[in-house]
Amino acid sequence: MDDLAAFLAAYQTTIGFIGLNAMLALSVWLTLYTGQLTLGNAAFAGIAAYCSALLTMKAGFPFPLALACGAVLAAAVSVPLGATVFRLRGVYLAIATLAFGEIVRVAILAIPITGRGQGLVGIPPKTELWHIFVSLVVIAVVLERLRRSTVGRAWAAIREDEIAAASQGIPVRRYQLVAFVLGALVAGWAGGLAAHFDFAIQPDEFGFARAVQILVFAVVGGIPNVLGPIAGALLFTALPAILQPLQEYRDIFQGAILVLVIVFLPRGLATLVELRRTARLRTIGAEDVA
Amino acid sequence: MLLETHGLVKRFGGVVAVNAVDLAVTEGEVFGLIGPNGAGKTTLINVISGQLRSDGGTVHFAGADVTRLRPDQLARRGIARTFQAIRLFKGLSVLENVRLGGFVRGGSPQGARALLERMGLAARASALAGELAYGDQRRLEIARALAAEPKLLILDEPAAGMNPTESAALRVLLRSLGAEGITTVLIEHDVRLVMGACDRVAVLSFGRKIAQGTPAEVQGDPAVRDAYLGSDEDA
Amino acid sequence: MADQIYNAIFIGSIYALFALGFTLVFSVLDILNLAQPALFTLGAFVALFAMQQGVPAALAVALAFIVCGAAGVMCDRVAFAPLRRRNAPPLSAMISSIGVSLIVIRLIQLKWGPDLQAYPAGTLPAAVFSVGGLQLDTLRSAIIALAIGLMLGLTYLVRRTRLGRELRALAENPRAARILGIDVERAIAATFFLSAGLGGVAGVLYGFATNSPFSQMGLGFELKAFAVMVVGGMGSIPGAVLGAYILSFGEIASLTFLPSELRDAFAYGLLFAVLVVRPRGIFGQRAVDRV
Repeated sequence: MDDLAAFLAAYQTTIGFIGLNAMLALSVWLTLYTGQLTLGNAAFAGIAAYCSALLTMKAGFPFPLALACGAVLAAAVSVPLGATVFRLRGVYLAIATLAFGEIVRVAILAIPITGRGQGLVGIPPKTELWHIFVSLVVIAVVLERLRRSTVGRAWAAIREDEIAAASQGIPVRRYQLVAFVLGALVAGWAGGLAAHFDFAIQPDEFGFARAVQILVFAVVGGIPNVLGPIAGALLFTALPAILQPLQEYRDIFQGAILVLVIVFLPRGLATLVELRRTARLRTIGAEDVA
Repeated sequence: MLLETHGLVKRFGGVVAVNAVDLAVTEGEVFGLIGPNGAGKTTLINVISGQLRSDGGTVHFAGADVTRLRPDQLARRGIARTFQAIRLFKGLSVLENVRLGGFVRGGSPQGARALLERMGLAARASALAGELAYGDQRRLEIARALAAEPKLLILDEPAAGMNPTESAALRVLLRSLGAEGITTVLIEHDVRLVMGACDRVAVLSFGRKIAQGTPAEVQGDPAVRDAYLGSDEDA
Repeated sequence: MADQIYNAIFIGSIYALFALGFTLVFSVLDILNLAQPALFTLGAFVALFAMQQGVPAALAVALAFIVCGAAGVMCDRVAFAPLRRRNAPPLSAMISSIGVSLIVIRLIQLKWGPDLQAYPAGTLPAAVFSVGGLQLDTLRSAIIALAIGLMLGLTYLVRRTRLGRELRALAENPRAARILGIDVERAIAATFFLSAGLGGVAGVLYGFATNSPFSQMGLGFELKAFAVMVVGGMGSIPGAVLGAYILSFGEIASLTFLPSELRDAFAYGLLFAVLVVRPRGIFGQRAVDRV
């Protein structure tokens, strides 16, 4: 038991980040599950991080309330963004969320209260490991329930074939928007937790590189169910911590794994757990979408 | 009149694919839409079912103007369809496809199973839709459309790739739909199916309706023969 | 004022070259190649490497075109072709291209580091001259001339050559193109070669213009290209050119009332304004899916 406590203490930061990354991966997973690509979830996390941090630092908000405000703000911003783009083809979502991410980064650098380029320092470190993991479990359970419900089954149909889904009466745009906004909410919650975990935040932490990283977690983990993104986040957060000397090549590995997974293992690590189903999907050429 | 189109037009760049087409389909009938390849039949029903936006004219369904409605809105009003190139949810199970078909009605597994029984696919309920044989996939698409309990069923070449036994069974199914209160619009090339299943037929050629009547009337129409065989001036 | 116009033409020409790379691939394959910014960066650094070995600037540009073009074809073989073979959705290709981008940019960073570089002293023309009261310089004039030349060349290729016809057929209807006997894979390879080559040249030219190529130069520029494509219409070549100059002139004009750090805001604002008001842009077509 003492060994466990010692282990936890030594690796506290890494373990915390595994949990935070897992939530972020789940936030992207939601949109991927409907067959779309979003590169904006790091920005949503950033919005909530700054918002919640400023609320606890300057306005004396209690921690849970600040987290909630941050998450709700992120979700609120995602609504007009999503509403604009979901009526268009998928490529526009990728473009718009990429642009949005940059806009957020530039806005943070321009607004004095955020500390601009220096970032926000001195954020009360209120996040404990149990906050992170309880949040993760609750979010994972809720999302998995959702995935198995009518909503989730409609999402799967949309991913398979948007046109056929619409012809069966599924309001495609609305359902995609719901997944997107929910993703922003989850990303926002994780962002708020992250801000209070490490006592400072900087705009670069929520930029394009981070958005890509989260995408890697979700894609490599696999999208058939919520365990995929969690596994992906675990793998890619824990591994670099272990393989410290190879830190320099991290991006190359991530990029290579991303390409290899998309080309050879489109369903991600989930493939390894569902070998037979994957083989059947591969035979009928449906492995990329299912 | 359950379904009416008035002067419906659809253009692609400079090409007029659907040229001022008027249709009137009565409740309960099986209405065929035939014509040579490229005549605009699929484009016409794509406009009617909301996949394409019309460039002129109107579509009325059950008395209401539905010209500008989206496919999912039309589905909620009771229009269901199948596609020329089968659009099943390939990676989902047969049962799941039918359950999703019944999305606007709640999508219960029991209702879905009953439909699978009726279409002879119950044994394959847990197979992936993409694993089915071609003829079975077509039947599954029809089952999925029926799951929505539609008032109007639009079928785009449902018999393509079916063997004679399967298309005979399809003919029987189509004839029984009217008794259940379902109106059917059918695009088909299979002559025996059209003759045996349709109450009335409209013929399209180069985007225009050139003939309409009972299958027998249309079959004897010289304009229709010309459309299919091509007249000498075009050669 | 005249100087501002000159500047707008100059920067717009580079935007156009870069956006054309995206547009070519999008019009033929319906995918957004997110590795394009990496090829842009690669171009600037290929030229840097060459010039550090003593290769003259003009030749370095040509070299960048060829090397990036080849890299583009390789990208396709590795990251896109396998997906095409099994009819994977465009989403997969976009994700795959992100992976490629990560690798290429990181490799550049490992060799040169993340800081600003500079081209060897004396290799870039520094002459200034006057034309009817206008202060022009050789460098920017050469860049404008080259960029416009490339755009004209591309237009000629697309309209008058067999390859161009094949590309247009592919963009219109891939299945029909195959049936008509077009060697689809060869045409696609040519598309990637041109797209990456143009992107690479845009990178060199931008590198020359700023004389500070750096490994992350692709990202900010990428967003400008998106704004250009959305304004001009995704998949439209004339749209990309027109959109590029609209953006560059708009940016210069907006500098009269926006602080310079927010210069980029004009591009983002334009992008979203178009998405809301007229998403297909100037020449874009509403996506019509065949059912």
